[in-house]
Amino acid sequence: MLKSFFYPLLLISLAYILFINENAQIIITGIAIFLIGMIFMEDGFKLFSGGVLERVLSKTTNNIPKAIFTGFLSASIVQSSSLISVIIISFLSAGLISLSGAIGVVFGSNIGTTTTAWIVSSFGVKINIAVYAFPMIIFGVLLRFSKNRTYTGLGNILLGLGFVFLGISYMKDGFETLKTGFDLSQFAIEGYLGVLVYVAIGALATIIIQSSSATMALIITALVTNQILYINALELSIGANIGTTVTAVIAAASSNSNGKRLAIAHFIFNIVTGVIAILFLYQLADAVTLLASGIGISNDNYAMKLALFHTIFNILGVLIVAPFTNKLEKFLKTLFRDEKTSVLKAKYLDDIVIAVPDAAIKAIKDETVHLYENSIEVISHALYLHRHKYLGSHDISLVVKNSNAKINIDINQFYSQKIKSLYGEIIHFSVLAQENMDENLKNKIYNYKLASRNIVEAIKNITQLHKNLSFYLKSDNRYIKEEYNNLRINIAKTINVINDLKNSKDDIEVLSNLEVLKEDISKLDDLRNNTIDTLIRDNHISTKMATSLINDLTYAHNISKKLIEVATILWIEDKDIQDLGDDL
Amino acid sequence: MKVKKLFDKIERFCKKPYMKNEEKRTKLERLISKKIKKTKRDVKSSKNIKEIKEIKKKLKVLKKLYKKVKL
Repeated sequence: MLKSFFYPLLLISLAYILFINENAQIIITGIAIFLIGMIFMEDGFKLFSGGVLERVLSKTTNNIPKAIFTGFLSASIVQSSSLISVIIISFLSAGLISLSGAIGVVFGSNIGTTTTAWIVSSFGVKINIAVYAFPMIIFGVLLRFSKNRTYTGLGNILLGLGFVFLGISYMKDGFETLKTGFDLSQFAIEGYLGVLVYVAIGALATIIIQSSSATMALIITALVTNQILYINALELSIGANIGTTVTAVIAAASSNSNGKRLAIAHFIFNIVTGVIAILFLYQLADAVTLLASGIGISNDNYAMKLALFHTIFNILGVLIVAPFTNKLEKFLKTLFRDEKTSVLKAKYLDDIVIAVPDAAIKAIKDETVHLYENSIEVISHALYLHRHKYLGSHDISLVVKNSNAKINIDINQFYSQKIKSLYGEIIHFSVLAQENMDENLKNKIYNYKLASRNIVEAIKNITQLHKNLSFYLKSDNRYIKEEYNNLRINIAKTINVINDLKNSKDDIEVLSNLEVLKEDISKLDDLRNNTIDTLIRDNHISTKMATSLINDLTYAHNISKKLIEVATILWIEDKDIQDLGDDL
Repeated sequence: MKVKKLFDKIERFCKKPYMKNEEKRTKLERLISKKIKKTKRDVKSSKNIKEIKEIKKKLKVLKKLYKKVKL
């Protein structure tokens, strides 16, 4: 409601400003170009990193100081704290990192993004930056035509950087011309009223522009062209820091509990940092002047002093908030409780990770594993087996023979309510995610979709098998009962072997074991067919029993085959090794 | 035995190689042969007959895999 009212109003006001003021037009164009540049840069890093960023983030967040440093380093290179947040949320959902580690990365990335202010203040305002922007844009466009993912990524980064520089140049030009006709500095307000007003303006500008980096570039160019006072620029930068969390909180509203926890951690951190910076603004400004002279920044270089202030107050925030990370973690866990591990909903498919190919692939794989675990539950119960009793057991035959108690399960209901919905979610997510992917990653997605389909088919087969199984296990005919018990043993053995291989990192080991399993199943199938012939010949089972058994033998064989195919896709990482098992 | 080896050579010559990428092929060959050696050691060290039977099955599969890659 609020959005539908304010958004058109904002557009109309913007159109009016653009129409009446040529200088404002140039400045706003600069902001728009800058934002386009940031989008290109973010897209570029998603393609260019090729999973390196994800690997680094997952391995260097085991303690808080390390996580802060990693967050700082990655955000200063990538220049986007939102990209870091997206990856971190996906890892958090996958259980690869702890919440405290993720919070540490968010703290660090806040310091990391302050490098934008350093770049703008050191290069952007001193030299004619547009001169560098054009070659970057030209080479960026050329590289974007490449089919190679890395080159396309590099092209996007160059293009992004070119647009960022061009945007800064436009903003600077706009303020330079504005200076001659109109003096914004007359609106300067001193004292704490000024502090609050300017902090609010900074926050509001960031909420509207949706990028604190763009707001910082705007503040620095306005400061350099003497449109605002140095102290007011400091206040605006505090506001920008606060404003950026509002956009993060809004974005996380539709995310899962991990996304919400991280957004609130980010919000708390920036609010605490902002309040401290407001309370000690003048002391901090003095400290910046002192430190600036110490590191060789001249007293009248306000742009760099602003960048220094921005970095210092974020570091100060980290120093103050970081010791309470564990308490914050506890608080956030109670604030957003994990949804009950209902199999109805996807656990890893968060819309927020769709845009990051490597994170999206990981989410799809984890969700397919989740689907597999659920299918094992339903298959085991349909066989009247409890997973905790037979998984890991050395004598599965004995466990199966001793487990004849009926387990109440409605497979059709389980399938339609839990498996089908999850399968649907995987397919939907995969279709959306593959739009941002190259051929290699699309093939991976295809494989995971294939694995999900095999899981669903295995369940359809167990549904058929279950009907006769429940009937013949109660039969007085010991021969038919034994044959059905053998079917149960074979499927249980397959599941057990796969369960043992799940955590193996050795692809050859997994493949060879799965191939042995395949051979065993095939041999047993022949053996069972021969046994059925003998049973019919000796009149131990009726014709009706025989036909049921033959059909169910096929279902059992299919279930094992499908599960082995799923295991090959899910637990053999190397595609070449995966393919090696075909037609052996 | 010599005839079998000769046939293998002819087969290898006539058939398309399983893997054209030499680097990948060498990598797989190395991995599988390492695994074969380890599995052979496992056969020797194991005392349980049932276990030996299982390991031998695995060894047979590994040799098939090696042959496929080598081709």
